[in-house]
Amino acid sequence: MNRIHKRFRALVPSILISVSLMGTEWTDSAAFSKRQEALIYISAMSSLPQSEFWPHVDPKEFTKDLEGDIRQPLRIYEGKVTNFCSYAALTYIPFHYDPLGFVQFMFELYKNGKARLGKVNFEPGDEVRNVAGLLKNKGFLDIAPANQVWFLCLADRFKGYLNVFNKQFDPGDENNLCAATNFSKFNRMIRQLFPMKVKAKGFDFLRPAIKDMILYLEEKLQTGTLFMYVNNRKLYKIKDNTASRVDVPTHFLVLLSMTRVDNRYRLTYWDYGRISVQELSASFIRKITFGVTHCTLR
Amino acid sequence: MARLPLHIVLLLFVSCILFSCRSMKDFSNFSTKFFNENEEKLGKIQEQYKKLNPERPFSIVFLDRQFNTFSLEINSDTFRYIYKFLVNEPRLLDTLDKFRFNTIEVMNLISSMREMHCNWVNKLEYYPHKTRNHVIYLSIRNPNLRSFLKRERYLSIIYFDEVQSHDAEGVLLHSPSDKDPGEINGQVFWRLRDKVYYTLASYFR
Repeated sequence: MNRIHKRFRALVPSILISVSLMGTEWTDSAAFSKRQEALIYISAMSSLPQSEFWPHVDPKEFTKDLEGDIRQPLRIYEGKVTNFCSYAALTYIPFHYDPLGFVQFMFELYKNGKARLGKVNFEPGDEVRNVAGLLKNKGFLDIAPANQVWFLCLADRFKGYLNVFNKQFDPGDENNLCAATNFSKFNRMIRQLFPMKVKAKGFDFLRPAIKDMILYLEEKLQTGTLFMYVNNRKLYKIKDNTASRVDVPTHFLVLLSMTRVDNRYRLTYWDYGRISVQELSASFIRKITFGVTHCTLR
Repeated sequence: MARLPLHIVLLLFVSCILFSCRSMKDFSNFSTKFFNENEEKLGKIQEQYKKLNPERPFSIVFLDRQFNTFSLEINSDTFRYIYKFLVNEPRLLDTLDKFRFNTIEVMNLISSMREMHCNWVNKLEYYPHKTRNHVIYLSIRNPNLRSFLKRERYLSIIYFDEVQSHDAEGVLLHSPSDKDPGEINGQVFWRLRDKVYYTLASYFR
């Protein structure tokens, strides 16, 4: 009985998170704009004409997708078998801190084929513009043309050492190393795109030199947005063959809360278009974590 | 002890490698044979899951080769609760109770999955031609799908509600006019029955 009581008590933070994130109004006083302002802007764009730059993206579907993202920011989904998880994870920042700014950027990109976000100018080439709207067999991403535009632009614009052998985007590259993100590229994207102060600890092959990982995560959760760079194959057990024994990070997620339950930790995190709640041991958390990125507003 | 000549040693080594490598054709033959032999039991897993899932969407993933540990993932629109259990763990019943599952039915499903070495059952959404659709997805683990030098393969079987289109070679198409194969979960599927298709995947979920 005591154990069940403890479990319910541990559920409280995740319930509070869900209520605050699913509510109709984002009320963070630190946010640059509110969700309602973004929705008003989107409704003013109802008669958006077909863009000559994005031939396969229908303006109505584009607007509808953006509206859906603003109403349900946690639904953003990187797609099946793509390497877009880092792009989906970092989108958590504009959706929660400046939805209006992000929506304005997206409409400008759609109308003019180029736009600026933060310190970055986006002007994707024909390969990207002709693929957007046509991605298929990716699950929910198939019917999310605005997200396709956004992810493809990020994959095209930012390059890290993983992309060195395939820098030019071609159809199908969303599934391979051309779209992959290493840890430093992820942090660079956040620094250049958003007005965030980024403190990152970790590496692509080695675990971070953090003395007490649990304490570090608990402390950082109090003061900003926390991204984790983890070994996804261990976290979700995707396969159990030789490849899964290679211990490398493959996935980015947003850590929302962490509470102690008996001798384990209940992690509430966002990835794959929803919030996951999972109890893990401290040693397992240390084992799967290769990077931690802590972001606060500048 | 007399030494074996070098050429005999090499011949034995090459033979071992050749015997340990299996062609995809071997695996495909196994898949159809396995399905034909176990159609009823596999259909039962699908039926049990199909009956339970609408009440509270969930999936079950077995995490070890012995089928003793599994993960129960309970889904809502926004949340996914992931619990790991041993098959005979008492707290499993507490959790099933807490989420108001039909405990007996879920335990029967788990036992059917163990019997067939089915390591994942899930309702999977996909969007053919931008319309929402779903399949019941079963992954099967079998020693016949392992070999010394090749990655382990999993037999994935999907059950549709409707009869599906396919090309002359039995490859699944999302509509009869499609030229490209209709992928689900990143895989191309082949026909077993009108509403049942299969593939051999390098991942089980």
